[in-house]
Amino acid sequence: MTITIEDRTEVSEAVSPFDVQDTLYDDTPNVIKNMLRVLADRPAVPNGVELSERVIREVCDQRELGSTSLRVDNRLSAELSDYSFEARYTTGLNIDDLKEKVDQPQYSHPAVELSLEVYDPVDYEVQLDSNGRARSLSILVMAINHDSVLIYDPLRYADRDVSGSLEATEVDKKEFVKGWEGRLETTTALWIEETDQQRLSQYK
Amino acid sequence: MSRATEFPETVSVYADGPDSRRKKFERVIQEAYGSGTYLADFYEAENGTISIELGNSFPKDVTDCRPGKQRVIKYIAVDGIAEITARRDGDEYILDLIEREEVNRGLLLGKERLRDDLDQAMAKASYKQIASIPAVENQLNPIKQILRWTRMYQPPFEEVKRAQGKEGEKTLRYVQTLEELGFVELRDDGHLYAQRPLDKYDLEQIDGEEFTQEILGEVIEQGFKRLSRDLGLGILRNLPKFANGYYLDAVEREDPSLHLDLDTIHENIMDWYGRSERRHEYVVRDKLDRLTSLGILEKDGEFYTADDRTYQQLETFSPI
Repeated sequence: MTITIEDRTEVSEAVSPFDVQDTLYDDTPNVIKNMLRVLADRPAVPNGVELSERVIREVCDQRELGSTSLRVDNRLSAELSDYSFEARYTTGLNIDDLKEKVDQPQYSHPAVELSLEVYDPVDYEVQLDSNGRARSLSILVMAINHDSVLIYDPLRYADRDVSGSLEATEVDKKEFVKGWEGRLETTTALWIEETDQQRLSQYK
Repeated sequence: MSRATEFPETVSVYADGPDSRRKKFERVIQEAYGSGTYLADFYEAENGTISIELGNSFPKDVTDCRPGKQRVIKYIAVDGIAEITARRDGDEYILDLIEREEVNRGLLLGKERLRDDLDQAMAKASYKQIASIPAVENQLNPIKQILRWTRMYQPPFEEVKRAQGKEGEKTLRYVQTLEELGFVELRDDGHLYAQRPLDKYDLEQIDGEEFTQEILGEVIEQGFKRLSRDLGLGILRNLPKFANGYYLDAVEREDPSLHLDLDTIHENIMDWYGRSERRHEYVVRDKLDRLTSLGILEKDGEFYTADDRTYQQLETFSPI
């Protein structure tokens, strides 16, 4: 089964109003911001989980150098602690594990990193540096099916005046997995999940 | 901030085979300092101490501005932005992390180094054209006088100083710069003597236009950094800066047919030299048109593109 028209419609409605990042290197805070935005839009999720850009930049210590993922889950969980949500950051998931996270209604969409040394983006070209390297790209996984993955790719729109008309990017699943594993052959994923067991029952 | 949310001072890395060990260090360093951070150098001493030099690869938009062209993002490597060490402790290594702010500062300084090297490369690629600009010639007049008089008279320094009539130690600073660049020598007898680069000109050549352009060109080529910074000859920096607002992207893409518009070139200049470089569009256009008339850039409609000779020369000297 490929991505259905319903999947596509649902994802494009979620992605089109996303915030666009101002610079080429703000992908991680931008993806976290949009992750929280979709989560806060869900019924029964308090608006407070949508953190400000300033707080998110502090959480991942965003600088021109890039962001840090060391203890980013602890920092994010601390910011969300009033709302019984917590962040989870983990390495070594496979695509089936990731699909489980995507399909869980009480989880946010997961943010993962794609290696631009391996992944060939849609709609723009990446040229590697003189050592054959590039930064990895934080993206949001919106839907996974048998042979495709729908993602939000923030670099596609970085520093562009396209507010309100962003589109999801459809990627071949095998290509996605290759990019996710990257040269260092380690996958990472960051997501938010509900911790209140009473509230969890509302989703069932 | 609690311990659980603070940036850690150390991280432990399990020691296994040398290949996977390096990969593990790289992974940890990317988690700490961002995914563009890499091991520019990785050295393991006999006693198990590991010394790591960090580099970072940062993105730059180098899209051709003509309609219908796809966006292109180029990554640029900067080596030597910070150094960290790890020590062996049983079957693991303890990596001492330094503050992210310090590594970030290293990246910004590394970018400045790249920029300065590119300016120097542009000065070398275009020195003859730069020297032919009347305002540059005017600013370099005291330098030209010292070179001419030295070649003609082997004069006492005090005589040159008197002839120039400059305040303070300006004449001495010019002489010291020319001495360091190897054009003249101030000997113990107090006289100035021509060195090889100056000596090669015949006396009858010295009054000609050609001498002025050739020798000043050589001085700019050799002493661009010293002249522009230490002697405050700002105009020398100005033109390479505007030219590199275009050539940085062209050299990065290895594409002399790249077309950029005025706004993109202006943005590039502000990105690389700071927001204080914001100028009115009229001023930027004047500078770029000046570069076009000097043959350093070419114009194609509303776009600027490379002059082939300048591009080739710049590519030879470029650090990127």
